Amino acid sequence: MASHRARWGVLFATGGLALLILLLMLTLLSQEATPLPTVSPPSPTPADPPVAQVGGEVIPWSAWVEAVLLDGVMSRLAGVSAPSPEETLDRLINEVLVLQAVPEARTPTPEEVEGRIAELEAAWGVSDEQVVQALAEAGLTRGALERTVARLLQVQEAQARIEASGTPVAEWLARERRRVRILTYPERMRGLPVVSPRPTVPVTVAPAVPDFTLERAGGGTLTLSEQLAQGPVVLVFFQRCG
Amino acid sequence: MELRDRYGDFQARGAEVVALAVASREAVDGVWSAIGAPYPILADPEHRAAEAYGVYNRLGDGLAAPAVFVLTKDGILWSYVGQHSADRPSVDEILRHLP
Repeated sequence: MASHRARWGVLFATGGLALLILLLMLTLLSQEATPLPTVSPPSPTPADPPVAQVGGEVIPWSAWVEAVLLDGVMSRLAGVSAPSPEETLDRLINEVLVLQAVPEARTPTPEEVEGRIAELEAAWGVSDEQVVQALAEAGLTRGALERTVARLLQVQEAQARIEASGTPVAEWLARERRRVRILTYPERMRGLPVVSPRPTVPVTVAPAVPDFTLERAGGGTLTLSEQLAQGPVVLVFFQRCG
Repeated sequence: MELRDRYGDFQARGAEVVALAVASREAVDGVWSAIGAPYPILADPEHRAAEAYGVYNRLGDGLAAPAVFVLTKDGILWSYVGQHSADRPSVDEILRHLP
């Protein structure tokens, strides 16, 4: 019975380590990449401006801040030093590149995500309550961890497919980073909330969705926040009206 | 209009589609009645919303770049900003990112 338990322990630890190694690998790989061109942002600065653009996809400020905070929490729980905010952005860019190349990579089921979180907690030797507490201290919810783990699982699968096609992921990423148009806005990489171990005031992570009230075709007005109170909204900007 | 034809898929997921353009109210009125859009189309003549979402004048044309944002009251779940006029995600891609 004891050896049975030990075997599970090894399995869990391996899973947790694999995730950490993936995180570190994505970070280390990007350190060897060529420096990114930087451009001035269009003015004025929007409420949730992109910190980077990868091909047609933007990485909003709020997503980057959440990733930085989450990297901090996960590193602390794992007992390793946290990546710098710039390294976290490089990882996000790599993830976007990988997922853009393999869009068919499967989204994991909630059970798979929970399974991986349980493996991580076992590897870190902490309970779920302790993880939730550590997240709360950084102003994060468990939902942020779930989203990140789901995305990492999807990235892992996409990377496996790239490897299966015969190109090592590092080599592939280096090539893609030269090929794809990547812009970063370093001057926007600020405003990181200061995380104290026991905050007395809740830390704001993501800025609120920019709200607006505009006239609608056919008459009347629409206020975004009122619409969002009823459920998700898919906001579609049309370039031309016709 | 793939978006119009598949509006039911969004409704089935409890989501509303809100379209906007940097254009006058009269211009969006014309489009709305011409295509018979089942979802609201908003006029953003002073491009306040387009600026707030960082898509105004990205293509240097004084208009909004084609873009899609999946929103909940808690934040922006996903976004896609086109690099040219015809660069927009498919409806299937957008649906994948709905909560």
